[in-house]
Amino acid sequence: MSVHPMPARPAVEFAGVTKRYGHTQALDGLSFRLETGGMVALLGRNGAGKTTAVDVMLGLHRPTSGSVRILGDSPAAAIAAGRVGAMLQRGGLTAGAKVAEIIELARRLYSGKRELSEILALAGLSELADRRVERLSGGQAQRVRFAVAMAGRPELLFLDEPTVALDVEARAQFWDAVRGVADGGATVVFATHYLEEADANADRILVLDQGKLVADGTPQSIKSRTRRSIVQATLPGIVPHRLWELPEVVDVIVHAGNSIELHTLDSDATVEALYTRGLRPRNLRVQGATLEQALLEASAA
Amino acid sequence: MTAFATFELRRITRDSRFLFFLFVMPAGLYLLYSGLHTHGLQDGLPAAEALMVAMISYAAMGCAMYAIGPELAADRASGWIRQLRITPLTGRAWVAAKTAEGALLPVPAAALVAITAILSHGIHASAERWAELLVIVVAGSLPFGMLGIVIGQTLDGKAANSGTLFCQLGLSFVGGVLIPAAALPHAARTIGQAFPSYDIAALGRDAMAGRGLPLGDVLVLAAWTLVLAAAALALLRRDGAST
Repeated sequence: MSVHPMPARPAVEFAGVTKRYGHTQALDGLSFRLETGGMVALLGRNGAGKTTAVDVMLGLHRPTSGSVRILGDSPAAAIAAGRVGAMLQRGGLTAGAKVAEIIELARRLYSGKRELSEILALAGLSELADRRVERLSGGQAQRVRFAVAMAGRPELLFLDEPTVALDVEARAQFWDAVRGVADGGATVVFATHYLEEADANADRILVLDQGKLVADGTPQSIKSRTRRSIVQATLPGIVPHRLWELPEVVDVIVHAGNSIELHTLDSDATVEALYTRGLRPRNLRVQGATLEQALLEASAA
Repeated sequence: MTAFATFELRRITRDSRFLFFLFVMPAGLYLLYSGLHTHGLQDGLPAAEALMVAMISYAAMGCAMYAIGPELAADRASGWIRQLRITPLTGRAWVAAKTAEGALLPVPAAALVAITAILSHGIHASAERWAELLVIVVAGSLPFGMLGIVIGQTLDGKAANSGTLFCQLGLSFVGGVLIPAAALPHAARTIGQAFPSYDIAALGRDAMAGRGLPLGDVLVLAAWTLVLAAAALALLRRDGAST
C-alpha cells in the first residue's frame, strides 16, 4: 500500500451551487467539500438532484449560480487533463464496435496510462473482448462503461446509479472492483437511491432532497440522528388504539397475519409496557434506526 | 484525435448497409445509366464521362452525409456523445475527426465508380485530371459533411435517416446529379446552380475536361462549406454549453 501526502486541494468543492431548469429548482444552494480518497455516496430519492449534481461536477451542465471545482480545477480542465472517469446513468456505447476497440479508444484518449489487458481484466471483460457492442447484455454493457471510466486510472471516479441493471452477484463483484479503485488512492463519488448500497460502501454520505443537502456524515452518524427504533412482533387480536397508548410510540403499522410494527422513540419503554399491560407479543424483534427513516426524517424536517 | 477518427472509420465501414448504398450502388447506377444513354456530349464531356462524374458526386455527397448525420443522431440518443464529453477528447478534436471522416470516406467510393467507368467504357484521362478530380471529391464533400453534423444535431433517430435521404436525393436532383441538368425544367436548373451538389458535379466535369475551374463555382462551394460549418459549430456549442 503506497503512502502519499494528502494534497491540500479537495477532490470536489461546491459553493452555493444552484441549478434551475425553467420552473424547476434542481439544485438549491448546495455547498460541500469532499477531500481526496475514500468513497462518498450521494443519497436521495429519484428527482432529489443527485444526477444533476453529478452532471454539474462533470461540467455537463453549468450551474445557474455558485461555483464548482474538482481536483482544484474547473470541471472542463480536470476532464481535459484526463484526471476524471465517470459512469453516467444516461451514458452509453455505440454500435458497430467491438468491446476491445471501445476500450482501446478510451485507453488512448487517456494517454495510455493503463494496458488494455489490465483494463479488460479489471472489468471482467477479457472473454468478451471480441464481442460486438450490440450483442452485449445490459450487465455486460455496464461493465464496458465501467472499463471506459477506469481506462485512464482516474484520480476521481464518478458513478451515477451504477448497479441498476446488475443482478446480486454482479453487484457484489462491481463493488469489489470499485473498492479496489478507492484503495489505489482514487476518490470515488457515487449516486444511489439504494440505501443499503450507500450504507455498505460509503465512508461518507451526503443526503440530498429537492436539491438541498439535508444530511452529511458517516453512515453511522446519519443513522444515529434519529432516535427511532422499530419494535416488531406478532400480537393476535389487538386493537390499534391500545398500541397507540403505549409509551413513546410515534407510529403504528398493522400488517396481515397479526403482525405489528411500532415506531418508537424509546424501544425499552415500549417493550416493557407491552409486557406489563398484559399484551403477549410473540417473535419480538427490535431494530435500530434505518437509513430510510433517517432520510424521511431529515427530508420532513 | 487520430485514435477517435480511426475508431469511427472502422465502425462505419463495418456497416454493410452503408457500404452497399454508398459504395456499391453508385457504381451500379453508373452501369445501369450508361447502358441507357452514352451518346453525345453533356456539358462538353462525352456522356459516359459526365455520367461518371455525376455518380462520383452522388457517392461523395452520400458518403459524407450518411457517415455523419444518422450516426450522430444515434450516438446522441444512445448516450455515447455524453460519454465522450467526459473523456479528454475535446469538442474540437471531435469535429476535426468527423470532418476528416467525411472527406476521406468518399475517396474509395469515388474510386469504385471510376474503376467501373474505366473498365466498362475505357475512359482515359491523364494523371493530372484524375488528381484534380480527387481534390474536388475531397474538398467538395466538406459542405456535405457539415450538413451531416447539422442534420445529426437537429433530428433524432428515424427523422435523421429520412432527413439525410431527403437531402441526398433533393440535392442530387436539383444539382443535376441524378438527372442531367439539361433535362431539368429551366427554373430548377437555374436555382440548382446555387447548390453545392451542382458545384461539385460541375467542377468535376471541368476537371475531367481539362478546362480551368471557374472561380465562381469554387467560391460558391467554399461559401456553402463555411456557412454549414458555422451552423454545425453553433449547434454543437449550444449542445455543449447546455442549459
